Amino acid sequence: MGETVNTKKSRRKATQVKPVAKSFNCPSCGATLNITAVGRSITVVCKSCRTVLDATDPNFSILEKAHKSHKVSPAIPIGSRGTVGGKMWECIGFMQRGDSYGYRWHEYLLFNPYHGYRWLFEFDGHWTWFKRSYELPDLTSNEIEYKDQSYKLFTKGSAEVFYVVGEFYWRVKVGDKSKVKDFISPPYTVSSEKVENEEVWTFGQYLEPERIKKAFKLDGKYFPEPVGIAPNQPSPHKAEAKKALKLLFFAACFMITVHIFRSASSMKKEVFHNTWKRSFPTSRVERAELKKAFNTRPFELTKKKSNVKLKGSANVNNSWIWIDALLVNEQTGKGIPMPMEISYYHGYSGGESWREGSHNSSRVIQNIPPGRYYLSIKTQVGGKTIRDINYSVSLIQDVPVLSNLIISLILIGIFPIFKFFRRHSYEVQRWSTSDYSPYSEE
Amino acid sequence: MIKINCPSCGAEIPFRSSTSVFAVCSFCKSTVIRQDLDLELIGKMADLPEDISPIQLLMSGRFDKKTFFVSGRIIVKWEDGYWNEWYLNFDDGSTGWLAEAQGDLAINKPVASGLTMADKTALQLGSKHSLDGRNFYVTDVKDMTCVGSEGELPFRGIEGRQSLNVDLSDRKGGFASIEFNEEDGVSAYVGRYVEFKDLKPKSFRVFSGWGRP
Repeated sequence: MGETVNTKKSRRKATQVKPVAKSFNCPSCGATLNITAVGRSITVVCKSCRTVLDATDPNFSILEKAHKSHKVSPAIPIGSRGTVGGKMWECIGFMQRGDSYGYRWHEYLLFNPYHGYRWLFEFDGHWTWFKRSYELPDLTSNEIEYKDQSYKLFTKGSAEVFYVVGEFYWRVKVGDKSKVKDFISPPYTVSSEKVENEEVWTFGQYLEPERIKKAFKLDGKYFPEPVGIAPNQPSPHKAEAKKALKLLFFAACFMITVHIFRSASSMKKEVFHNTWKRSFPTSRVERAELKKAFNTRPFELTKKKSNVKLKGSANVNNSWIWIDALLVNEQTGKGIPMPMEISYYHGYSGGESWREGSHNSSRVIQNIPPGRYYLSIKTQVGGKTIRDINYSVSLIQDVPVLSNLIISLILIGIFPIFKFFRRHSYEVQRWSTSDYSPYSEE
Repeated sequence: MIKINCPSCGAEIPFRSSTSVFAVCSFCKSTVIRQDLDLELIGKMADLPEDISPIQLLMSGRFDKKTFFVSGRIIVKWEDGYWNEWYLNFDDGSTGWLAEAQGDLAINKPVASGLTMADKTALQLGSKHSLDGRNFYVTDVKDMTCVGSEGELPFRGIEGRQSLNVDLSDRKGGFASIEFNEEDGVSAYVGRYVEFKDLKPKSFRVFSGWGRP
């Protein structure tokens, strides 16, 4: 059966080993059957007639006649091998199990003579790789603590064998029942299976369906397409949301730094300032006259493509003034409109005093090329109180603008907020098939 | 190592471990009991059931920074299958067992338990029990029968030897086992689960078509 391995290379070459598997004919239908886990498998279910045979008996006596259940085709054929996690595994057993609600899932028993057994669990096209757990979890109602990580209860119920084929290290037959519990912390699952008094814990990890397909070189024939979200499927939004948050943090830091730097280095140079008196018209002629535009003295904008801030103030009192300013380039004659309204009202009504508006206003225009400019100003006035209004206008070149920063921060914040929303809805969907969803309302 | 000739066929039976009192002649399968340099013939071992274990007699390995070699094995049967108990001899003179069941491996070493045969029924599934200063939980209680042995052993590994075996686990991968045997009394062992590859095994059994571990 086997030979000694010696560490010396010369000896290694001489090692001769015979195949391990054992072949025999099914005593019921005559089909040729294999046993791979010789000495460990105690039940073999004939792949062609599904008679249950005693693998511990040299004559492979019949334990149970073939059951006439529906035929189920395993996605991974019995006897096929694949490499998962750097180790080769042979699929030696297959079961379809289910619960009383009509859910059906598939379990594949995998074997390697050096590394023992593993399980592949498939439900709705989602795959989980299970290994027996050597650490006992610490159970507290609907949660377990397993290797310093907490897992939440996802399902609890009974499982029944509906279809079975291949070799197993326990006595298996259709109709076998056990109690199962799944606890999740994606991509991991910790499961308990209880038959009578014996409870076995297994530890599972979600595997991408494509990995199974590649590992066992499966064609698409019986390979199920994944449907919905598996209990332990890792959320694609979890990492993305985290990444987005990180990105947001760095972007915000960068923007704030740039803002501080620019504020410190901006010129904040007042290039024009003047005060005028605007009287209320007393006649139509005067009104037409007062509405006319006038030009200010020219001034120089020196810095290349900077912003300019127009500040206006007026001693309005239950009245308003409309300052229709136009920033005109002397050379080109082109004007940039910078209108503003200043209004202030106050009073006393319903036992409370109130006020509205302000004596000041300002606006900023970006990217003004350097050159000689002047302001062309038109004004209109109105209000409850008719009194002359003193107003002043100043123009400041290169000012720090906080609103730019705030708008930018809001804009870059939208993406992570969206990601977090996606992540949350993914979790809600994941838990929608569980009776223990933390998202469901009591 | 002492070599004593088999009282049945005359072939040399090596005793590599001073703790061994029982051996199976590798040539004629005679079972012998050793008393000093005398061997008492007690019977013949039937052919052992085939199995696919990568462990074999004289395999060596490392565990807890000590080198061991496998000097014997008993094959045990329970209601639903078999498992192997490989007898280990460490280079510091201590001994232990490598339990191999359903592909799972655990190494444990003898400890004092303070238990008596009267405690046989006290260890129920799920119950907590302290061994060697550690808390364990009973995971398995089985009646077992020896169906055969090979190599050298510290007790009579004869067919039909019956015991009650209690397995225990903890939250950190620890493994313990308590054996209740009418003849040998209570033996307790404490250790942990291991992976075959982590034992850095040498002279193990190689399976064609399966590569190396």
